[in-house]
Amino acid sequence: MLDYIVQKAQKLGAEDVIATSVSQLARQTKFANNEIVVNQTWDEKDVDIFLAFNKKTISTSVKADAKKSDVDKTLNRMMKITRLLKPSEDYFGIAKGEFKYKDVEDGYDKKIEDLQEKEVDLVTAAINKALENGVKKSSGVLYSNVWQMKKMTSSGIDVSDKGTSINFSIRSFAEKDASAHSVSVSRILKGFDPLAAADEASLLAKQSLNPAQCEEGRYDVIFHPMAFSSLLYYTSYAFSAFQVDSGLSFFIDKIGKKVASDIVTIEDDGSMVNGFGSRKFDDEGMPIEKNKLIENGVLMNYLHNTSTAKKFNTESTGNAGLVDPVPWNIVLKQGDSKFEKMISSVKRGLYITNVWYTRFANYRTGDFSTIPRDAIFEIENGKIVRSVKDLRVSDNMQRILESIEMISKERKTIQWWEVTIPVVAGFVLCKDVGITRSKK
Amino acid sequence: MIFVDKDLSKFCINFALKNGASFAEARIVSSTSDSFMLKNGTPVVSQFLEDSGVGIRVLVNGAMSFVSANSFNRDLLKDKIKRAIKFAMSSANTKKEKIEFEGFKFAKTKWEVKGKRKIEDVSPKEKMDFLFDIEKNLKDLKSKVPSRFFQLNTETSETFYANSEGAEISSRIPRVMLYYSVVVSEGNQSEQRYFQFGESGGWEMIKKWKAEEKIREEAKVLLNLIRKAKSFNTEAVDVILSPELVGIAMHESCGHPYEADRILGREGAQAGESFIKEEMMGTRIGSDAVTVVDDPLVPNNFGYYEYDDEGVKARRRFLIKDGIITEFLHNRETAVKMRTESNAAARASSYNREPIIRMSNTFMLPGNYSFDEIIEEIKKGVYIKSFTEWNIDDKRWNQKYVGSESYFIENGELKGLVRRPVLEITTKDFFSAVDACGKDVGFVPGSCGKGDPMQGIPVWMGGPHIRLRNVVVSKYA
Repeated sequence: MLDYIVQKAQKLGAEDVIATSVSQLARQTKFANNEIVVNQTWDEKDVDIFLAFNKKTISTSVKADAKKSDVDKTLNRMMKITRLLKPSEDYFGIAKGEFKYKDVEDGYDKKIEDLQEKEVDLVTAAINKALENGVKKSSGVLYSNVWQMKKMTSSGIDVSDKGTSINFSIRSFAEKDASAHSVSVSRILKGFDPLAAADEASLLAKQSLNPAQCEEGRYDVIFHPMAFSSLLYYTSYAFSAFQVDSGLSFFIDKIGKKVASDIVTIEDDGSMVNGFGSRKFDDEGMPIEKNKLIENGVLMNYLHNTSTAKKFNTESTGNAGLVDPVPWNIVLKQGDSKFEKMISSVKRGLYITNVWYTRFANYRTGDFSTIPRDAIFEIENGKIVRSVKDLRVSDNMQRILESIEMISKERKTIQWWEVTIPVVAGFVLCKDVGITRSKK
Repeated sequence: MIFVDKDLSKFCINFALKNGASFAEARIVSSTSDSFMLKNGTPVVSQFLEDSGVGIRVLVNGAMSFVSANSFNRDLLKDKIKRAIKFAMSSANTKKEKIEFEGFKFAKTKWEVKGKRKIEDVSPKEKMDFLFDIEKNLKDLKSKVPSRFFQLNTETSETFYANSEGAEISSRIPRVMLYYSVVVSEGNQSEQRYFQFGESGGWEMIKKWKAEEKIREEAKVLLNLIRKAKSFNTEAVDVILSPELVGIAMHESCGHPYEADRILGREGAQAGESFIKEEMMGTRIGSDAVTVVDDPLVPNNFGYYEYDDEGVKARRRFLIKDGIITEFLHNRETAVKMRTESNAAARASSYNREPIIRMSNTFMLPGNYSFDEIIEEIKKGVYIKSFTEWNIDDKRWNQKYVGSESYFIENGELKGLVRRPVLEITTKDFFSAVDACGKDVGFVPGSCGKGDPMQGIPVWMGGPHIRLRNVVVSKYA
C-alpha cells in the first residue's frame, strides 16, 4: 500500500511524499488503592501520509485496511486542498540520500508480546511488595507495547522498524500527604524491575510521614531523577529549531554560548541501547543518531528536520517531526557524585523527589514554576532533618541549569504520565533555587 | 463522515455478553477534523483527518476491561472482545472490591448541535484566510511581536453509544477552536500571551470572537507591560479577578477536586487525588457569595453534551452552593461507591479512550454587583484581567496564578499596569475571601488533561468578575 500511495501521489503532482504504516498493540493494567481498576487494550493500524506540492504541505492518515478507492479519494482531496493553500516559505523538502540504518540494540523482545495476562501478576507482586514495606496503598499503571513501522518516501527511502516496550509507574501512599513515586522503564524484559520501583516508592513514602510546613526563600535543592527529568522534559521543547524559529525558546541566539554550568552535558540519543524512545529512523526516514545539545555548559545545537536545518543553514539532526523536530531520549551525562555526598554538602536545602504541572510565564525567557508532589525533605547541615510539604519551585529554567553544582553517577530512565518523552537523569544539586508557597 | 454502523454496536455487546460479560457497552465514533497553522506569517503543515473506530467496555466478575480498534472487521472485534474478557477475568481474581454500575433506565434517543454554517462547508482557503486576517491586523506591530503563532482546529464528531441495559444514543457535535500565542519584545524584555477561543456550533461562531481585534489589543497591552508596568510589593490587599481568572480557578480548584474518581483515588498516580473527602459533603468551603456549577447544557459551550458517554442524561451540577459543598461529579461506578446517582460526568475524548469523570463547563454563578460597585470600595488592590503562568498541586489545594494584563487599584479606580502580580493561595482561603460577584458572566475554553493514556477534552470555564478581600499578592521573583 505504501508503494501505491507514493506513486499515486506523485502521479497527481505531489513533489514530496512520505507514507508510513504504523501498527501497535498496547496493553495496560491500571491500579489504584491496591486494586486493579481497569485492563485496557488498543489495536491500531494506520497509514500516515504527508505530501508537498509547490511548497504547500499537508498530512493525514488512512486506515491500514483502507480500499484503494478510499486511498485515491484521500490523495485527491489532499491535492485539492494543497492547491487552495498558500506556500510555506519555511518548507525545504524531505530527507534525501543513501542512508545506512542500524537496528536499535535491545529494542525488541518477543517475551513482552507473550506476557499477556501475566502482566496482572507483575502488578499484584508490586502492590504486595509496597504493602510489605508498610504503606497503606499504591496506585499506578503497567503498559506493554508492541509496534511495527514501515516508511516509504518519494526520495527512495524504504525502511522498516519494530519494537517493544514495557513501563511501570507506582505511587505509594504511607499516610495523608506522605507519598512517593517511582518507575521502571525498558524496551526488553531484562532489566525491567517493577519490584524495585515498588520498593523505592514505598520506602520513600514511609520516610516522608508527618510533613511540616516550611518557609519560602532560596534553597539548595537536590532533585531526584523523577523530579529533574521533569524539568529536562519541559526544557526539551526549547531545543527544537521550530520553537526557536517561532520565538518560543529560551535558547534563541545562544548557540556557542554558556547556558548551563560546566558539568552539564545533555544529548539527545535516539540510538541508545534499550532506549525507551530509540528508533531506527525519524519521521522523514533519516537515520537517528546521537546529538550533543549542551556540552560542558555550552549550547551546541538545536534539534532539526530537513526544513529547519535548511533555514538555519545546517544539517538535519535526524529529529523530524514533520512540523516540529522532536527529541527521542534526552540524556543528562552522568556526574561523579554520590547522593550521600550531595546531602552532606548542603547546609540549608531541600530534597525534592517529584514535580508536576510545570508552566512557563514566558517560553522565551524560561520563567516558570513547578510543583513538588510526593516526598520533600528539608536538609540542614548535611542531614535530612524532616519531611515538608506544600512548596513550589518558582525560578527560571536557564538559571536552574546554570546553578547545577553536582550530578550523581547513578542515573535512571524516567518516563511516565507527566514525562512522556524519556529522560535519562541522575540526582542533581542546584544552588539557590527559588521556593515559594501559598500565603495567608 | 464515515457511516456509523449501529448494528455493529449490538453485535459487540451481544458477543461480549455471550462470552461472560455481565455488562457491555460499545461506542462507535466517526470524526472529521482539520488543523491549519500560521507561524510568523508562514503556513505550517495543514492537517485533515477522517477517523473512526469502536471502543468496547465490559464488566466481568466485577472487573473492568476496555478495548478499542480502528477496524470494524467483526472477526477481529470478536477476538479483541474475547481477549478483553480474559484480561478482566485475570484481574477479577485479585479484586476484593467488585466494580458495579448503578442501575438506570436508559433512553433510545439522539441529540445534535447545529450550526448556521456547517464547518465542513467552509473551504480550507477561508480557514487559512481567517488566520491571515489576524496576522494582517498585527502588521504595524510586527517589529515588536517577533513570535506569532495561530492554529485553527475544527472537528465534527458523530457517536453512537449502546449498552446491554438498553441505551441507544446517537449524537453529532461540531467544534471550532483557535489557539494563539504571541510574544512581544522590546530591548531585552519580552512578555507572552497564549490563549484560545472555542465553542461548539457552526462557523458563524468565529465572527463573534473578534479574534483579530482581541489579539491586536492584547499585543498592545503586552508592549505597555514592558514599557510601563511596575512590580507590586508583596502585601495583603483586595483583588478583583476577571471571568478569565475566575474560570481557570473554578476549573482547577473546584471542578477537578470534586471529581469523584479523584476523591476515591483512581487517578492517584496520574493527575492525583483530591483534598476533598467524601465526608466533606455539606461542609463549608467558601463564603456565602460562592456558588459554582458544572453545566454541560449551556448552549454552544465547548464541552457541550446532552447525554454522557455512559448514556446518562446530562444536567447542571451544583458543586458549591452558597459556600457549602453540595455535589461531586459522578459516573455510574463512583455513584455506587458513594451511594448516590450518576450525574452524567463520564466522557471519553475518542473511541479509543475509556470514559472517565470529566468536567464540561465549570463556572461561578453571577451575583448582583456591577464592576463599578465591585471596585468602588477598594482602597488599595489589584485587578487581574488575564493570566500567564499558573499551576496547582495534585490534591488541588495550593494554586498560583500570575497576572498578565493587571492594574493597580487605588481608592476605587484603576491606575497603572502591574508587572506579573502573583496570587499564590490555598483553595479554602481563595473561596473564603470572595465577598462580591459581578452580574456579568464570561467563559473561556480549554483542553482539560486527565486520564492514562492522556485524554485532552474540550471544556469551558468561567464566571463573573469577583472581589477577594485581603489576600496576599506577591511580586514576581
